[in-house]
Amino acid sequence: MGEEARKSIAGLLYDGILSAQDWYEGLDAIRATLGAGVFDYLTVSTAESHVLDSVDNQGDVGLYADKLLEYKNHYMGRDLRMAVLARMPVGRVMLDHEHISAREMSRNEVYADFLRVHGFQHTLAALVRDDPDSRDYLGFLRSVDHAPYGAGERALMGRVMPHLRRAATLRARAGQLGRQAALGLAALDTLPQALAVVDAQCRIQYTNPAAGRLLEGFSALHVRHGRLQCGDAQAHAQFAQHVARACGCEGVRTAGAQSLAGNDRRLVVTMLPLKASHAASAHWQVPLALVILTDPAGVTGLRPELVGEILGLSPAEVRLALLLTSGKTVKDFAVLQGCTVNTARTHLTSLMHKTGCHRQVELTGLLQSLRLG
Amino acid sequence: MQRRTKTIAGLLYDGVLSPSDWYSAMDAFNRAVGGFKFHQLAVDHQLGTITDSVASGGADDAEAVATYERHYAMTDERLPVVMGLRQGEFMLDHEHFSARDMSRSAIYAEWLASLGMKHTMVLMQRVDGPLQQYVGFMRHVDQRPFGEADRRLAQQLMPDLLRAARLRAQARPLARQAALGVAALDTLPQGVAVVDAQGRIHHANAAAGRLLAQFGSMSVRHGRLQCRDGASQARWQALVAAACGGGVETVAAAGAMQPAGGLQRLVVTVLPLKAHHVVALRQEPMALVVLADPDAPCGLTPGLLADMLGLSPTEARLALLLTSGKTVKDFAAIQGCTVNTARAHLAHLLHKTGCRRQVELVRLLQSLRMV
Repeated sequence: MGEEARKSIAGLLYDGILSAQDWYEGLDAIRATLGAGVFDYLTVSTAESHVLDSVDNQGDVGLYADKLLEYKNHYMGRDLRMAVLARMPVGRVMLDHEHISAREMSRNEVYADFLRVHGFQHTLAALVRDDPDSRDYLGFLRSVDHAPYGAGERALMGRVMPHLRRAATLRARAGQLGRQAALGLAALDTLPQALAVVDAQCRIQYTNPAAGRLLEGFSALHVRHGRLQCGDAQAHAQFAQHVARACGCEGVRTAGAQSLAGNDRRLVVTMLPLKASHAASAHWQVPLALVILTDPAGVTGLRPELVGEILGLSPAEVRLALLLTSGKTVKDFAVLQGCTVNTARTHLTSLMHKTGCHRQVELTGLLQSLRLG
Repeated sequence: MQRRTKTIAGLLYDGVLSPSDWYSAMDAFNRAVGGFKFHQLAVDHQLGTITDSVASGGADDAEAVATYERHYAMTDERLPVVMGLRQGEFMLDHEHFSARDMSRSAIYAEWLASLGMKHTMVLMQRVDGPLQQYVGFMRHVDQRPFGEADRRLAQQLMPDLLRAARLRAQARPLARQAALGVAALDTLPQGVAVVDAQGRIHHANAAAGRLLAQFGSMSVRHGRLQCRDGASQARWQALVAAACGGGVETVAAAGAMQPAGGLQRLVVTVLPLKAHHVVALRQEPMALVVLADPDAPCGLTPGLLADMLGLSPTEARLALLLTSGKTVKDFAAIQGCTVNTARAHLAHLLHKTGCRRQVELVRLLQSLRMV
């Protein structure tokens, strides 16, 4: 392998940190240089030794996903090659015939029943990454009629190995970052609370779908040129000041709240300083604020059947609980229900007993915390 | 030489995801070419803003960089030359400016000289539309101009520098998104966790840890969220399975419960995690778990409330207790003070908030609620 070929492989591997296609091509280029038929790059969890991720070219040579699955479910635990690799340091190249005798191979079901059946035998493999959570193994398989690997292939692999190890570590870290980003945004998107993240100039960095729904058609606060803006100039001045304070523009970062009255309803807006999370905070220089929008009109979002199911209430008790939470009285309930006040009181007693609440305000708290769903 | 370029290239790639390694790479590069100081800039020519700046040295240098960006950048005669560079090209200043030019220039004679710097080599790392990113290495005022050996070293490292700079630019939005999501979740008052169908925790925010420790009816064991009480555990597993779409019905469904056996009541809501992000999560369906304290219905903590209304910690605790239906006597018992002291706290609290009656105070706190 010339200097140019090595550089090209290293380049593909580094590009593969963020691109699955380049990672595949980098590994496939090593495979071609080694004169192997198949490569398989396995990420295995350390704790439960199950396969987290796999990159391979087996589809290209007629080994399809079900075959691979068969290997991972059935053969991997009995694979002599994995046992050898487990004892070797990270980055050391293993040629299987140096560790496993022909006799052992012929008796081992992975060699005899799996590899041989698919026309493969010789393996060059290495552990390329090892951290507390997961390990990456890379293997190259030659067909049965091919000669075993020798010193030339070992040297060649040795030259690529520093790049491979560095790129594998970075790829794992980027993957973790990608999962973290996806998980965090999915969680924020799923929350029923309306949320936005803004900078000190009220420029929107993120809004969740609930915020979009709440702001739709709301005249007192809207999105304009990528910023949150109040309809009323005086209200906006106050809003902007709260946001600036939460971002620490006046020294200490403090939380604030404001009530905004629109054409048809009122929203309460709370601004909190966004907690800069340890290591991740290095990735932005600007302080940000979390804006939470709530509709003080009460428990309208609660599904009665859900309340009944969770608290074990009858339909009449659910109706009473929801009415009380929205600020109505037991007498109001009697009128709406068409029953006597005494009957209504009986419902109330039973409701308080079932929920374990002693005061109506406790009941309100319980129902409000259900509203999060 | 070979060894040194390898080390620098390694640092450059490590710097794709790590700001400190990126700094180390620039610093090592600078030293390898005999530079005294370095400054790497990313400039958006369309918006006229600097989007990234990494410079050698500590706080003094940061101030110098800010002064340069504000006062000297407009008249810097090196910049037109730099802006004309294509990606991968570089310039050695003495090839563009004579000794006479330099002695007459404000940048060289005043600015750079005042900082003990003179000769400059600039490498164009990345050109992406209106965005240019380049790094400048500056030699000490007594040193000779950059020469052939430095040119060769820069040429040798250029492919790695270009690739690493591109990867770093690509990774930044990802890192930013991850940081923003984590920070927003950590700021929320309620506990939020993401679990898979087996109850394994994939993410939990700061409040979730606090609430679990405080309430005791749920705990984390071997990375899984579980209930202490047997019947509650069965219900919890069913809720998580349903939210992950793995129950009898194939449609993911939301539900809620109050696990038994804790020190205080805890309301747990389980929702299907929005599917469009799940692709990145190895196609595994997951559930969002929201933990809420029904006795703190506003989602307000004493610290937050004190912050918003300018209260002392004690007054904030009193205000929250009153809002959850407790009395001034209850507060005295919890606080371990006399009822008279508690009444004094209440008087201060009402005065500070401008409320005349307790019911007004409760209404005020309810209007501040975040959930």
